[in-house]
Amino acid sequence: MIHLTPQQLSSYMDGELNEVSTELVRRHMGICEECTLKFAALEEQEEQLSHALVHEPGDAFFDRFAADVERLLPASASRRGSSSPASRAAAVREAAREAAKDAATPTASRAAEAATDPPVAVPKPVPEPALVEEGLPLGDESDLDADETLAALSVGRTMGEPPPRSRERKAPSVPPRARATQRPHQRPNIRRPTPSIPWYAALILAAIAGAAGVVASRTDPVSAWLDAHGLGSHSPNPERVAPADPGLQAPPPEQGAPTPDVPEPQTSDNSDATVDDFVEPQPQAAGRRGGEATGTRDPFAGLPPAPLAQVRAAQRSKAAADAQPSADRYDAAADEWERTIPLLRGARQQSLSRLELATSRYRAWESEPTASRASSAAVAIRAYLAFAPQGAPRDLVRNWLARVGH
Amino acid sequence: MLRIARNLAVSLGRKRAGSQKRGGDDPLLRSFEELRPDEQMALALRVVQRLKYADIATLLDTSLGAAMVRLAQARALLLGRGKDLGSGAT
Repeated sequence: MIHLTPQQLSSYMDGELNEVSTELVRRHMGICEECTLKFAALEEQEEQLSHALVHEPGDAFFDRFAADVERLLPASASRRGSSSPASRAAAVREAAREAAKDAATPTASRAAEAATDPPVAVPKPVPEPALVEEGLPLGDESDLDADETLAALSVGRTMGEPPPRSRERKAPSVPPRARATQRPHQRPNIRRPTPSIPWYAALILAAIAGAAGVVASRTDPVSAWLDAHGLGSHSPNPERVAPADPGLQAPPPEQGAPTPDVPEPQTSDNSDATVDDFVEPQPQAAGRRGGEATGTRDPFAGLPPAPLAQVRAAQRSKAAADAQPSADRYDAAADEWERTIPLLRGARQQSLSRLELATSRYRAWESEPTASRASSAAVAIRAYLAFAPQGAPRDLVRNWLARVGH
Repeated sequence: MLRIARNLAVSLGRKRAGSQKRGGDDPLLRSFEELRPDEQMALALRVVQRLKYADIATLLDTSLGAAMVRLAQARALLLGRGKDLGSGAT
């Protein structure tokens, strides 16, 4: 039995699979105890992690917060040695910050909060009336550096904390009311780089170089070289993607209409098309096509030696079955691919391997139809469909499922 | 703006990494901290913020598939380490 991959379990738990895949995963877990247990363990771990990563100070903290501020207030005020309203306000802020520090424990959730809540999303401090009347300059959020911003996020600071530089500024002599009207027009002190002549020269040179590159890429020698290395055209290589069955060919696009990325869904008449027509060319496929230079597009190229050897063995087995089709050869190829799948971790590699497995099982059933081969083919096809991206191979394989009769 | 916030968070995390070891006695948190930063970030965005995969991919500047694989790997690694710790304790 082919078990669910970690990606399938994870996506299923997060509700990110489509309806068909969700149903297939649910059906599999109905019959597979191992996957069900693994899923339960994942859910339990998720629950524990959600508690561990979130830091809640709790009601007790907020209950004693005001008392702590009151307790710390005289000490802060006496340290400052002044009784002006501005100093009192600064003392209150200092006391609140010290009280909040007691409960501030860094957790991983802060990183996530900081990543999703931009600094400007922090509630804008509501200035106290005393501060406005006294004309104490309030710090802009843009003046905060990274540490202050994150500290503000982590302790849930709601009061405006001017940076030290702002605190030392001398209060302006403009009347408070006039300053209040001026405030919205004040621009934050943000340093922006001033474009200079070399900067403009570099920009123009880069534009010229880019245009020259585009022109050069359209010249015959360059485009011929690009085509020879499989880089030349964004449109698919007809030799590579054109289905063997003429009925599979997509209709030509209308004038001016964009070329569709995904071919039209196949009908049951297309069931005899080979999946290799859609799969990325692989080494043995390159050999069959007269030695196309496709080594750079091999999706398994970056694998470690052991999984790569297994992939190559499976590819050889499948190629042998394709060369001399028989049920036994396709069964052997399918067994090889079944051994290969657990060694792969990439989603694309998994998908391609499952496609090869489904193809082999289906071909085996097609060569010598038996109930067990039909069942194996149906399982392999469903496993592929559960994780296959949208596209022609998926539609083709779905047609096979109907033909197998499961 | 989100990228700036994320970069700030990563910078701060790196700054603190050398000076402070978090996690305490919680084996799950210790295992979490042993994950790669991108896996930690993806997992925290999903578990704490309940973001969808598409939003996580946008925030982390990766494709949807990469975000999905990163999450699945992180969870599988945590599960594996949890089992190791459990078997080591018994």
